[in-house]
Amino acid sequence: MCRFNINQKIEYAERHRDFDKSLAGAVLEQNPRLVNVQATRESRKLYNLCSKVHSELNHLVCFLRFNVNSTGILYAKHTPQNKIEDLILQFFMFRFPLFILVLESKRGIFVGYKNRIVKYEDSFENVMKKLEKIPKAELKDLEQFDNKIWESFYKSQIIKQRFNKKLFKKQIPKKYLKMQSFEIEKRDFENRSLNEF
Amino acid sequence: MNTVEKLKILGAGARYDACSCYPPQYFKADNDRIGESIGCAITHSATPDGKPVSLFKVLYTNSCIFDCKYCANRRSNNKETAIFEKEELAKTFMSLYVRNYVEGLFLSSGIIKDSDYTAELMLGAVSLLRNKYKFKGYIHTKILPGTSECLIKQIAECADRISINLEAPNNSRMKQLSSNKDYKIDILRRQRWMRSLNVSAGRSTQFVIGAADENDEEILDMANWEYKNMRLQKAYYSAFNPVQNTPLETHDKTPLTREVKLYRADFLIRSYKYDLKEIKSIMANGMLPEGDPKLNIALASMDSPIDLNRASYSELLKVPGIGHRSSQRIMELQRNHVKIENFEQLRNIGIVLKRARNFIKMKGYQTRLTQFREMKNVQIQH
Repeated sequence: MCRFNINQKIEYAERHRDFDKSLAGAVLEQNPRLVNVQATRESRKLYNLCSKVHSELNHLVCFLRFNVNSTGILYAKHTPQNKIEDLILQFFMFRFPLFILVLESKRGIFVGYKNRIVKYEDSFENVMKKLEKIPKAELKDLEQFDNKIWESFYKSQIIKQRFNKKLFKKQIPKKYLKMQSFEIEKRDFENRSLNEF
Repeated sequence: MNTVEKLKILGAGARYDACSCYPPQYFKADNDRIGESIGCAITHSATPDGKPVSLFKVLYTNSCIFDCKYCANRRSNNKETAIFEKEELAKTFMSLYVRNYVEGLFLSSGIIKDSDYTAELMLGAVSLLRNKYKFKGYIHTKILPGTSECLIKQIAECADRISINLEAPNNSRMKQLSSNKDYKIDILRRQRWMRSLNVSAGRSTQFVIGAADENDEEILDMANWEYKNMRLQKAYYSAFNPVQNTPLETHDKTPLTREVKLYRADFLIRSYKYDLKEIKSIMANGMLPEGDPKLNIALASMDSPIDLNRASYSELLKVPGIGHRSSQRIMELQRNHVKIENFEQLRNIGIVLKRARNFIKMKGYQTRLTQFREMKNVQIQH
């Protein structure tokens, strides 16, 4: 029993940067009942690749932070380790059906709008110029944002008596803490002396 | 006072409230909306205490007419007060939501004038989000003790989850904590009204652990009663932490390990369907012993290691290191007549062998339950 069937597992694993086609072939030749519960070495390996891709997707859905420009486009800049830009946009397209979503990655600029994802090889500025002409959701002043609001809220949630460095690192893995949008969290965490934990 | 300053006060006022995002049982996905609550069991940040930050957790106001002895917002506490404007709260939340900083709203409040007046203010802010901003994401609203039935119904229509805090396990303990909060009328009667309401992500409650010197047995008794009678989705436990300028500021702090043990025992009741008697059987003086309750129950009740190829689903669940998913996988193998023959298979399936090994009968391996139990007993005695 697994939440993914074998085809879904292969689909996800294919997006992994270290995926090898021979692994999928070997798994497909094995007893499907054992494969289904990852009881063989190859099926476990495939499952691990699949879950690494899925885990990165889940993390980025949590940690990717958007900017909003005055024309109502939500945009972010990040290059995932695996090829999942379209999956990230798919998630946010369902969440924000009225907005145009732009994800700038080293693999290209991905634009999601009205259930369609288009990949552009053009520069970010040119893509944004093209998108600005499309009618979008009414913003109701949401484009105005002061980062101090997040800082103030974030700091208000800290309970000093419960500091737990290990748990914090578990919640936000190091590679995501490096993201530019996590500046406040990173600064707050790194500026604490060991005695505070 | 500007929004940033208000957030400092009203965010801090809500930080002890425990909550998490729960996916609703139903969701209508129209295109004219902002947000959704289906994929909502995710965390967007974490504080240095390791606490996940997924919801925009704030109070509407920190003024309060109640005098709960453990609470920083109590009436007699000389504090700086703040109150949100409806529009201000809605706009601040939405500007964070569209940038993917938070997953939803958790709105609680102190009580100004009376419960209904404050509940109306909260309802106004939530309605603004739903109607003006077309927000269809997750909203968890606290029901204030003493709120009238019609207002509770209106709040339930706008929110995904509603909850009222029990704080103490029974009336006598509540009297120790607050002189003007009536446990039966202000809280339990409201819970009874909430029980029949259709709320997509259900109802929850919270206990403050250790403030009234209650024991684990009292708390688990009440939680179990709530699950059975109040159709509760989840109970939260918050270890008491003395707050300055409150009557309990000199009271001992409750160790966090107690909170962890209660969560574990609660999980056994809620998800693994353990009988409360089984959990009580390992208690000493009404307190849970050190260590994992599931392991302690298994040590006390399992006579011999079990054969995974024959065990039933409920028997599998009783083995430490085997959860729902591993049990389902083993049952799938049993149905397909595939025998489990070695520990590597078990590890691949996802069983935590470190915990499960001593309770499993495996062909060709010596089982060590008796020795393990003796060894454990020696450790516990020490």
